[in-house]
Amino acid sequence: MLSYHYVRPRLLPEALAALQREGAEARVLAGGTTLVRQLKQQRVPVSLLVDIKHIPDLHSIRIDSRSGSRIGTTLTLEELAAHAGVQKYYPLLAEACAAVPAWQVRNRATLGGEICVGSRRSAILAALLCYEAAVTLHGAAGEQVRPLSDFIRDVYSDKSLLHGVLLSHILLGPRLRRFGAVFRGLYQYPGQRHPVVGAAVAASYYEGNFQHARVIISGVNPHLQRYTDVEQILMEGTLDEDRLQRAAVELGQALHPVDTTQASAEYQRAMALHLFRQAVQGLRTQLGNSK
Amino acid sequence: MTRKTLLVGKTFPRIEAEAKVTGQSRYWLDLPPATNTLYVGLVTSTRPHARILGIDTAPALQHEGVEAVLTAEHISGMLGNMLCDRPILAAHTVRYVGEPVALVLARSPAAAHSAAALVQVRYDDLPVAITADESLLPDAPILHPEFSAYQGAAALGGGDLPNVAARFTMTAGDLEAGWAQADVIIEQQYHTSVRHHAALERHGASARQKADGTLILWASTAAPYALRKEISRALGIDAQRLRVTCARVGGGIGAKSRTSIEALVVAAAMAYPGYTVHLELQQSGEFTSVFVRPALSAYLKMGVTRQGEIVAMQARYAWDVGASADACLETVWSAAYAGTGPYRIPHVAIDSEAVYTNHTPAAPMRGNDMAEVHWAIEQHIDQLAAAIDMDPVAFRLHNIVKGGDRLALGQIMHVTGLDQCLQKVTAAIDWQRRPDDRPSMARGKGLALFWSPTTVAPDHSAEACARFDDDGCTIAIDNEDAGTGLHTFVAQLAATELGLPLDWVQVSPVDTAQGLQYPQRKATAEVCSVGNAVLMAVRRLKVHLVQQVAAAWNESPNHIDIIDGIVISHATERQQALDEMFRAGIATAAGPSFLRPLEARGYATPSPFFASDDPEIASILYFCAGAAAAEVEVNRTTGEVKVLQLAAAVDVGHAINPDLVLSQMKGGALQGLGAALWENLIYKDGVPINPDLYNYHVAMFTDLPAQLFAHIVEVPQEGGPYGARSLAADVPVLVAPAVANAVAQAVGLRLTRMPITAETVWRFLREN
Amino acid sequence: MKYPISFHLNGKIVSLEVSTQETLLDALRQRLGLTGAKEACNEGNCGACTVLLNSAPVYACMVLAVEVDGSAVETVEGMEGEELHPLQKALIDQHGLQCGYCSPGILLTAQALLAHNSRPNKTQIREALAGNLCRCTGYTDIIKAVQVASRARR
Ligand code: FES
Ligand code: FES
Repeated sequence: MLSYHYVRPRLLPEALAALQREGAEARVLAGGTTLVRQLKQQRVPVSLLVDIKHIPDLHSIRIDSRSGSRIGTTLTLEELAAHAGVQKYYPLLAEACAAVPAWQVRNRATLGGEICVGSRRSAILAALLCYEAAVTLHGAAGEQVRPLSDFIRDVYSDKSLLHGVLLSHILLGPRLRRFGAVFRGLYQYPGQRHPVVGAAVAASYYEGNFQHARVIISGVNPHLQRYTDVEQILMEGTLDEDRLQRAAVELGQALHPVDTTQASAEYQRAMALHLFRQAVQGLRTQLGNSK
Repeated sequence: MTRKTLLVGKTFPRIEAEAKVTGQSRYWLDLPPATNTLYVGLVTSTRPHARILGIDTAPALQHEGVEAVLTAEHISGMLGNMLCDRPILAAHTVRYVGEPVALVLARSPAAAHSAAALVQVRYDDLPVAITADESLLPDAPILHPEFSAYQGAAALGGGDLPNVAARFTMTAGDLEAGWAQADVIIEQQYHTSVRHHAALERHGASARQKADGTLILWASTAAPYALRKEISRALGIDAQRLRVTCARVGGGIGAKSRTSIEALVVAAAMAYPGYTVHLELQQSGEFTSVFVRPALSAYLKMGVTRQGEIVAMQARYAWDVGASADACLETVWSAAYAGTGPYRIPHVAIDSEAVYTNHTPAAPMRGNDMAEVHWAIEQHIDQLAAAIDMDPVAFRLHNIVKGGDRLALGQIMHVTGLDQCLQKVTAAIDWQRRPDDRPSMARGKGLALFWSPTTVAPDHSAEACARFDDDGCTIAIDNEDAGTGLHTFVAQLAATELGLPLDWVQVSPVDTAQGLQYPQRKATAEVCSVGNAVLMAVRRLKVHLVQQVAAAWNESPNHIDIIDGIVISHATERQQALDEMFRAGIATAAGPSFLRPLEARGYATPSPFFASDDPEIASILYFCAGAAAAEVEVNRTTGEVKVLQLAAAVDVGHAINPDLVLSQMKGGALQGLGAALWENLIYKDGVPINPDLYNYHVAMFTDLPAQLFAHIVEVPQEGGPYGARSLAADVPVLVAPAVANAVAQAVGLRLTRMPITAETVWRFLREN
Repeated sequence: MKYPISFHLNGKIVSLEVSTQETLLDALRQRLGLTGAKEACNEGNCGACTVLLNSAPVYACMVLAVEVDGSAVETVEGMEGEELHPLQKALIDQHGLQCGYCSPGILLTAQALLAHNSRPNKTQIREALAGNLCRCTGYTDIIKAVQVASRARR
């Protein structure tokens, strides 16, 4: 029968020391929306829970449109959705957090938890990738800042990378001028936790051209990622139908859907391309460039 | 003189509402824990079909806190009402994932849970059939090779094909002559999905054997009497030895009127006298170890003349009942005898069969058996109307069964408000106005009618007991109110008859210790039979009461009445409040004369409208009828279907409590919407892959259509209490085919498989 | 492992020892005898167990009891004062319940909603209550009840 200890550190170093001491069977407890379920199912060996919700630094948020922002990983989805600074400068993130249907979940689930779970269907992670988020990690090797996209990819191929590691903050770059980000998702029903397939497109717009384009498709490939070749095509010149078509073809080649019970591979692909176009269209409208 | 207040036909809150909203109601899981409890860790099959080669219980027995591990060696018996085809514990073979295989009894829930994981069952896998179509193939695995030896098997017409547990047929006229008259004949196969009842409260049960050998079972059930009968028979004990009692039920949706895991705890309690054996299903167990709703594979062939006359119908309904057919027999039976839908058809041949498959046994859902059949019929009717270029409303009106028509059954139909229901729903969604399409969005409207036989079991007498004492009037009936409003309905009938304010009447928690002799098995017959039994009981009670008062007052009983809780003599205008009579005695010149507590029983044996040659199964009391209409919007690119408006109307005979009836209808409508669009328990290689509320979608607040209309139609039911016919639990039946017909109108294609997912629509649009 | 915790429960301080395996729902129902919060899915999917934790609705089945040390918890048992809470009354009068298993959770979520937004419209009510399932009623009457209650409050 499982039996584990519980600690509630007030400072980051205390938390890190506890994690290090305990080794592989220590788990970080934030909102618990995933971990508590795993504890009940007794699927993971656990000897210690480190509750990080009472470390003030991890629950701090600084939004700065010029020098970049720093968001503690224990902020809840509800707090992010309601934060005026997030709404203003990172609206897609606020929107994605607000779109999580159950209020009870938004009140508990944290940004850090969303990242650790790393669902390929997460609209929140897609939004973070649009804003080129980086994540501050603390582990045996000390403190480290890594681009979120790399972190997601690495954890996907090796879950054990999460052991003994604590995510303290999300860093978002300075806000670009005339930058927008749009997400379009396909839901089986309005209150679904994650869309089956989604497309996020972000860019800034200068003189008829997209710059800093970011394209993310959720729910199709094994983990969330940016499609840089598609982004390149979008930025090559004026975005006409021809270019959009080339981008879509490129995207289609980069997708490797497999049948799931929710959607066949074929449907996933068709929907991803449809949503991608919709997102591009939405972005143009948002940036006031309907040409 | 004061007028008597009629408490029927008026809206009141549910009588138990306050206890529920304050959290004071006790459901099974809220009962205080018993001392000396053994917790059950249930070991269930991980295989859809396999021989059990051996069960190694040693590691579990070593586990701290474990008292015993029981297997089929210790507990045997077959459950069933009419057909005993469900082993209490799997013996040599498992037939579905989730089937109970062993019980770990331990001192704590945690020990029970961990030790259950240590029980090693060795299996030898057998081929699997998960749908009725698969089970009917010539080379399908045979699920119950010993079928013919089961108690009850002989009477059911099954066993003619392997895996067919029961077969009912209905024929009328001359089918060949019918085809000859038809100008257009359409054939089509339809499929519905396996759904889950998904009541919020999970199943649970606890039992104890007392020193005198009697057994008591506490269970999350709405039908304690039915459980007692089935369990005592399966375990070979005298029914009187077992007392079954229930708490409030947190939703039954059909799954809490039948026996499943409850028999296990009774058997274990017999093996461990003095202990309370306690079993709580977890969420996945709730989806796999109790009941699901059967799926239907329906083949329909119907012929129609150019003038719009339906002349012939042939149907084969193959019910995928899972590993046990017993709980579905009435469903399968009803599909045969009411399988024409509410239409007048002269030449008919219907065959309805229960087919074993390798999934959790199926049971009725939300009081009704006819949902799947109408999924097929109502879509077929639309296709026929289109083929002869007739408006679907006019076509239906032309062919529906009306009062006085001779049914295919041979009986003369009674009057219903079916046509009124149709008018209500078409008006509600403005049927005549063709919806405007937008370029990427197609809109359509659809409708569906239904009828559904209210069936009663052969032992269909109902009984009620009414008591009067200083707590007021207490009614005992045989079924708990799992949400239908039955208890409020009964209280309103009793208060009206007795001339009491409603809050003087209570319905006691259902308990076999109350000793009713004629338990009902089915929820839908309750309105008529239970209602009438209650009426008789309270009428008798009133006679006793009036006689006592008359004697004390020295007056004729004919002059005495009770109005709003006050006993009044119409002759002398003398009056006294009834509660005061009970407290202080009947006021007489010679001082108070004390009123004895009174008790009376009532019985009802409604005469069936139709009895088949299968007297063991059921007979029909009457038909309920209704209509639904829907407007949908379909996204041509993604296939997403959105229901914009939904209307339902049901003829309930007389709405004893109109708002409660409407509430039932609205709840049913949303469940029907779920059936149409989402609900589907999916099996992959026989293993359910979405057995929880995260992956099996039950309609949420955000799924509610923008417009939802519910209408009551009242054409009184002859013989029903105050003309009542139903509590309107039938609505889910209607909605799914109405939505399917609306989708068909929107995009011009017919989706015959439930549920209608975005991907199926998308695929169809692309291919056509 | 056992840990002492104390927290405000419906306005009163309670102290008890809990194990790390216990959820807040277990503690309320089994240790403190408050069975108003219902246990249904027990996996964070249905909302029957909803309570307010520091005024915010949460699934009590997904919160560990040790985590609430020092917090304030409100359950349905704390809703009525002298009289029924307007939401309770409206739920009864508008027939927003059948089996009633979902009702306590819905009442608490709705209470939190009205604390944030005293006059929610239908869409806001639906969205706020999206984490509470009801298998029986079809939701319409619950929405109506919340609206009626919001008007009843001053
Ligand atoms: S019981 Fe907690 S969410 Fe279902
Ligand atoms: S009333 Fe039964 S779940 Fe809501």
